[in-house]
Amino acid sequence: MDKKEWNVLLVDDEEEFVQTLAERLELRGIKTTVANDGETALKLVAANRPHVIVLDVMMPGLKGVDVLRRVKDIDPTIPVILLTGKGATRDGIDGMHYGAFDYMMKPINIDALTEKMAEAVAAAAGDSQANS
Amino acid sequence: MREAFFMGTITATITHELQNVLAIINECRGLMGDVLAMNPGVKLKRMDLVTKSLNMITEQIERGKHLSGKLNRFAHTAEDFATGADLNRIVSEIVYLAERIARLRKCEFVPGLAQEPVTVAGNGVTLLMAVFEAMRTCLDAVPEGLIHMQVARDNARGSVHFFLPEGSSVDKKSLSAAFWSLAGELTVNVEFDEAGKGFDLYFPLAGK
Repeated sequence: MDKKEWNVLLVDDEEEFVQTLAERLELRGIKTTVANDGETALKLVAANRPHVIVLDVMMPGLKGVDVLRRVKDIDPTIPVILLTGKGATRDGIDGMHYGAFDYMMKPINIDALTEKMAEAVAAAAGDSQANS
Repeated sequence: MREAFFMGTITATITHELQNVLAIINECRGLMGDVLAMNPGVKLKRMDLVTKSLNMITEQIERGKHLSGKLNRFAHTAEDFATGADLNRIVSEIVYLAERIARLRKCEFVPGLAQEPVTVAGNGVTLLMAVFEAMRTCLDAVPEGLIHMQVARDNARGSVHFFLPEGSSVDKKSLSAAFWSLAGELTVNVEFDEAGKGFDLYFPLAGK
C-alpha cells in the first residue's frame, strides 16, 4: 500500500508535539488523525480503523499500554508503534508483550518513523492476507 | 534510602517532561527544514545563517537528549540498585554519570569489568557514592590523562583497583577522609600499592 493511502492515528497528550508531527507527515502525503487522550483515540479506532497507530506510552488518564490493550480488543490486526521517553524503555518492552509492533524513543526521527510505519502497514497487510 | 527513592521519582518525572520539550523543538525544527526543502527556488538573504541555526538546533537537541538520558538514568539509580550491588554495574554506571566531571578535569575514567558479576555487601547507592569519592580523589591527584579502573574478586572480597597515570599519586589522607562520611553505612578497606601508582577499594562479598 502506498503511504498516501495510509490513515495514521497519532495519540499523544503533548498537543504541540503531535500537531507538528501530523503537519510533517501530511507534508509527506500521509493522512493523519490526532487524539490527545486514550479515550478519544479508542473512539477514533472503533470508528475509522486506522492503518497504523503511533501511541505515546505516558499519558494522563488511560496509559498508553492500556490503550494498546483495548485497541487490540477492538481489532488485533491494527499495528501500534509506541513512543517512549529515554529511561522508559520498560514501558516499550511491556507494550511489546501486549502486541505493539515496535517502540521508538522521543525525540523521534521522522524518516525512521515513516519507515517503521511502512513496515507495520506491510506486516499487517501480510497478516490479514494470511488470515483471509 | 527512602529519600533517594523520592528524589529519583521526582527527577525521573521531570526528565520525561524535558524529553517532551525536546521532542516538540525537534518537530518544529524538522518542520522548518521541511518547508525550506519544499521551496528550493526561494532565495532568502543570509540563508547560510538559517541553515547554520537549524543545524545548531539539531546538535543541541542531541545534546539535550544525551543529558536528559543521563539524568533519567541517575533518577532510577536508587530503584535499580535497591536489590543488589554488582561492582561491575556500579563502576559502569558511575563512570558514565561522572563522564563530564572527569572531562572538565581533562581526565577520563576507563572501566575494566570482571567477567562474572561481583556482588558485594551494602546498599547500592552508598557503594556508588564510595566509588565516586575515590574517583574524585583521583581527579584531585591527576592533572590530566586516563585513569583505569578494574573490578575483580577473590574468595571473600570484591575490589575496584584504580591505576593512575605515570607521575601521579593519590594523597592517602585525602582518600581516607573521603570515606569518613560513609562510615557506619559501608564496609570498605583501602589498600595502596607500594609504588603509589594506584590503590584498591575492597568490599566484603554479599553473604560472606
